[in-house]
Parts: sequence; C-alpha cells; structure tokens
Amino acid sequence: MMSLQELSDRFEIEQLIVHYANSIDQRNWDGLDRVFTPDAYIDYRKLGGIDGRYPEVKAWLGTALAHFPHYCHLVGNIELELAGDRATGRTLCINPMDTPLPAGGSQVMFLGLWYHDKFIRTAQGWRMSERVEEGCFQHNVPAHMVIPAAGA
Amino acid sequence: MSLQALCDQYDIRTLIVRYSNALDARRFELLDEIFTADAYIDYRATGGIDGDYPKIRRWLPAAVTAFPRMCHLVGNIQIALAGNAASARTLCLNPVAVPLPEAGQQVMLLAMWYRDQLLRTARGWRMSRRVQEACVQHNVPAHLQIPAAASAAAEGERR
Repeated sequence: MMSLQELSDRFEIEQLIVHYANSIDQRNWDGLDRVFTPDAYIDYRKLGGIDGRYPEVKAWLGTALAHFPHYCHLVGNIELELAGDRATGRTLCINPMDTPLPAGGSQVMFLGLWYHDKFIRTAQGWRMSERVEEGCFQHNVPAHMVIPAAGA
Repeated sequence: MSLQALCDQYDIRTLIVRYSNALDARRFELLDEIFTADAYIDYRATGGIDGDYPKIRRWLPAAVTAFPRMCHLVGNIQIALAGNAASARTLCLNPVAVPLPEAGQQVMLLAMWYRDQLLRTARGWRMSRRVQEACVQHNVPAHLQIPAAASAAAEGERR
C-alpha cells in the first residue's frame, strides 16, 4: 500500500502537469514559473518548436503561440515513477489548434503528442526539470504548415 | 475513503493507463504485468479478436503494425471495488493514423469503452477481463473494414 506521502506526491505532480496545460492555454506565461525549475530543459523540436533552458523557452512561447488564436492542451494517461525526491512521467496530450490560413479563415488541426518529464521536489514543492515532446498523430494540418514529425 | 481504498483506486487507474502506454509505445512485454495469465480479452467490437491473454499477446504486435501512429487516451474511469476484486468502466478516445493504399495517410478516430474486471494478486492489481464496447467511429478509410462500423451502417440503412 502507498503511504499518504506517496499519494500526495503523485497528486501534486499530476496537478503540476495540469497547471502547465492551463498556464499555456490561458497564455499566463508567468504561471509557468510555478511549473519549471529555473534551469529546466525543454525540447519542443519534435513538433516544430525550439529546445533550451526554461527562460529562453518561456520568452519564445508568447511569440510562437501568438500565431494561434485558439488552442487547448488536454492531458491524460499520466504515468509516474517516483524515486524519493525525484520522479519521471509520461503524459499524453491531445492538442487542437485553430490555425489562420494564408488566404483568410482558419482551420483546426489536431496534434497528438507525449510529454516525457522529469520532476524534482524543491522547497516550494514539486517542479518540472525536464520536458521533452514525442510526436504521435497529426490530423488536418494546413498545407502551409510544416511540422517535422508529420513525415517521421 | 480509507487509505487502502484510495490506494486501490489509484493503482487500478494506473494499471489502466499503463495498458494504453504499453500499447502506444509498442512495448508489448509490459502487458505481462497488466493482465493475469488467464485473462479474457475481447477486441471484436473494433475489428480484433477475442481469447485468453497468451493468444492476444501473440496477436497484438502484428495486428498494430498496420498503424504507424496511434494513441489510446483514457478517461471517465469509474471503478467499483469489492475487496480483492474490482470492476471498471473506462472511456477511450483512439486516434489512429492509417496509411492509405495509394499514398499518404488518414487519421481515423475510434471511441470505445473498456469494461474490465480486476483482481488483487500477490504482485498487485491485474486485469482478468477486458471487453471493448464500441462507440463512435469517424473518418475510417474506405479500405478498412471495422465490424462495428459496418453493422452500425447497416442498421442505419434498415431504419
């Protein structure tokens, strides 16, 4: 049987993963300060983004996502491995993105991806120290968009 | 709930998620830690087979090679605990990228429920029965035959 501590750790980490999605979807970039460690490594390259440390990626996000008027990140299938003050996680994300078309109007594409995460317990609670994306399916991507994982 | 019931609920939820992750990562060996050796599995609602776990375990790797990319997002997990046994109902949204005979691919979306029976074993909770119940099927390529889709279409014609 798990201890209350382990259940609580798992619940907090699941909430951290949801907090990331909500911060991104509300474009509350400062909310991400509560998600990542200051030196977290983030890799969005599989879906056409950048990789780097948290401050660099945070600065990039606002500009990169300004292109998309509506989007959401539904997370599920969260599988965690706890090891004391560290943890790893695998999470599925279904990501509908409303994408403006060059000729006017917009088209909703659906991206499926997994997050491979590392977590660390800090004095302020659990934080994400690494997040690497793995691509799954891509549906209804507009012809003018190029997403690397689409062909892989 | 007691701490024991909370743990049981959590462990069973995790088992259901680990099934999806094992399948989606094509790590079929991990299924050995999800099903009991004699579990009954029925995938017929989405065009698969039914049988005991060893039969399904042999069948799965080849069956899903036709689908280069897929995921099984589970939610709405409802678990009824009864001591060392449990039953669960889970909704699954299953986008599958299907290569087309000509070229390119098409993403179809299947939705289904899993109706599971679970047992507490010496090595933790295991699934002893998993039966699919089909829900919606969207954007299925014309060359694919999925029985539930076909029967639903036939039923539509009869109405």
